[in-house]
Amino acid sequence: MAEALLELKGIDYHHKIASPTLLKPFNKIGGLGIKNISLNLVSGNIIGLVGPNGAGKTTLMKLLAGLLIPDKGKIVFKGKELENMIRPNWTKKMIGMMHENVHWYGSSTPFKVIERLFTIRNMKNNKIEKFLDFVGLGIKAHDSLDSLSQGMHQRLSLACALIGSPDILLLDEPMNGLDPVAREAFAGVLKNLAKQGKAILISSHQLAELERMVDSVILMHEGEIIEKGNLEEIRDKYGINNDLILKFPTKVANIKEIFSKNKFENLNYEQYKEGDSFTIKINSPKGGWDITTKQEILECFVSSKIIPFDFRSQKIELVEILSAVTGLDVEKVGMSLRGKNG
Amino acid sequence: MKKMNNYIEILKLLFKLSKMEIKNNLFTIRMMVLMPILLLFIGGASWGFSDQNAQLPADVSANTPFEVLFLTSVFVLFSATLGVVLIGFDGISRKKNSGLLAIEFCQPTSRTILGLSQLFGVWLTVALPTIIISLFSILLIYKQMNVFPTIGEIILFIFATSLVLLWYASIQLLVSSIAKDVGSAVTLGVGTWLLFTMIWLLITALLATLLGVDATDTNNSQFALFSSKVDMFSPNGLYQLLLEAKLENISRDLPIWQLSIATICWTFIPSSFFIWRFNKLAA
Repeated sequence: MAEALLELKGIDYHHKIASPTLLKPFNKIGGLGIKNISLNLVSGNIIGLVGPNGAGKTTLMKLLAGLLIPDKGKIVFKGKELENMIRPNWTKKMIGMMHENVHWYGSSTPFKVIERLFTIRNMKNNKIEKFLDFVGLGIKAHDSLDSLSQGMHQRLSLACALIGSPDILLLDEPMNGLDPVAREAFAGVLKNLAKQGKAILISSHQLAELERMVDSVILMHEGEIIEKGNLEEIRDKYGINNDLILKFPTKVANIKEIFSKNKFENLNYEQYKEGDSFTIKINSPKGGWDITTKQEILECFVSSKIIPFDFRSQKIELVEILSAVTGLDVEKVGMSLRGKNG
Repeated sequence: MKKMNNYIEILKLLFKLSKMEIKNNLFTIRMMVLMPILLLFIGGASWGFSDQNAQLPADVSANTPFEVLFLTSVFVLFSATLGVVLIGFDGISRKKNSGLLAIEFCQPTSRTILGLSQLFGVWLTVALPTIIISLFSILLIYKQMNVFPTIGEIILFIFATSLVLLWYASIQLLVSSIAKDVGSAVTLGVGTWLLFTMIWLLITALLATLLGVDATDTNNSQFALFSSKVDMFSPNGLYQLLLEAKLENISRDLPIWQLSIATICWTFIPSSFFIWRFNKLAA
């Protein structure tokens, strides 16, 4: 069984908010934060941390990285419980964090940035070039930060997290600003790192972009973990599955006939006009789609000489999953998300 | 022995990080602006004051090399301390707002070392050129007056100048750690400089009036003693008091132990407070 590198047990943390009174001008009170968080980061596992803005993802990551000290709970590193949750340097060596929205600007260069972090870690500087090559910044090593693209900035942030080859990687919204090609490459890098035995926690407010990358997900809402496990299992548990979308240039008149000819008479579907085309949305069966079924559905249209120009599974949005898990209706969850975002 | 080696390692790391910080600060536009100012203010003042044909106000004397250095110290206060403000006002807030501070705080190194390297970086970036220009100024004084200040006087001048810049660096980084954005960093940084450089005399006069000391005649001995005591609470005032200790024609009757305590306090209290805050800082 894979080794648990880090365990959090019943962690509470509240951001300190200034609340001055006449007698206590520097008084602070506990504001929003995270509540009763328990999780395990296991070697070789990629976990997706999903939740809307303000769910507490970054706070949780900062707690894991040792930037914040919890108010309550227990932290266990490699089976060793930390006294008063104070982080000794050996625990910091185990963790690399890629921070969200680092503003890389100025005349400094990626080389200088990494050189400083190498120096802080007392590491030899002769491997910097090779290290920058690994994250694809080799040729830009001596360019000014101002001249780098958003994608390059993200790579630099990733490089900062990888210094010292940490056992645990915390990646806070790492896909921001990456183009599809870079995203693919990034997913590949993560899978390789997981194969090397790293535990990876990757946060995002977009479920779809994590779907193909992670082994399991943790859903956060209003500072609490509301569900964790395999994404498919969560979908099955709450009966939320992705619908199948087929698009045609003209209206399909005989759908019922096509389906019953191919033993798909039990499928629930609807057809509607969308712009100049017609869409057939087939509701997902309980237990989700398997590839063969999807293939057979496509084939039954093709064999009837009705060729769709688009065929895909509809992505389930975070709001829908949250709505299913919290029991709130989609609109209410949507409102709370919009409130947090805006 | 192991402990000793650890301390040596820590000092080495501190030295490396400070050197890196100085290197980063030295080659900035801010330093390009500051260097001619330092050169013109410190070099120009010592050249001008040491010119025997210069017409100085009646109550200002510049008959000895150290008296020239003492008068030059006013220009150090206007230029070098402003330099520390220029370099240090956003030393912490910029890193904090850009997210770089959080990255550094995640590294397995104590925040105290990071904070000290920041402090030494800001301090020495301005102190080193100031010291070099001050030594160059001594040569200018020699050129004009044909006599050098004594070694003791040179050491006192360099020591006091370095200290005042350290005090300013501590204050600047402290206020920078409080500042939430660039605007408040500028306001706090320049505000503290203005307080000690421009407004301090007004504060002294106000306090004197409140406490019944005659502040209408600044030459009376009662006000001189009072102002010297108040000056110990200002880095500029203490800097001047330290230099005055070597001047024969100025005496504000301040015991040397009080000066020493004020110097120690100014050296350690703001810097310790900054390191304490740096350790508590949420990134």
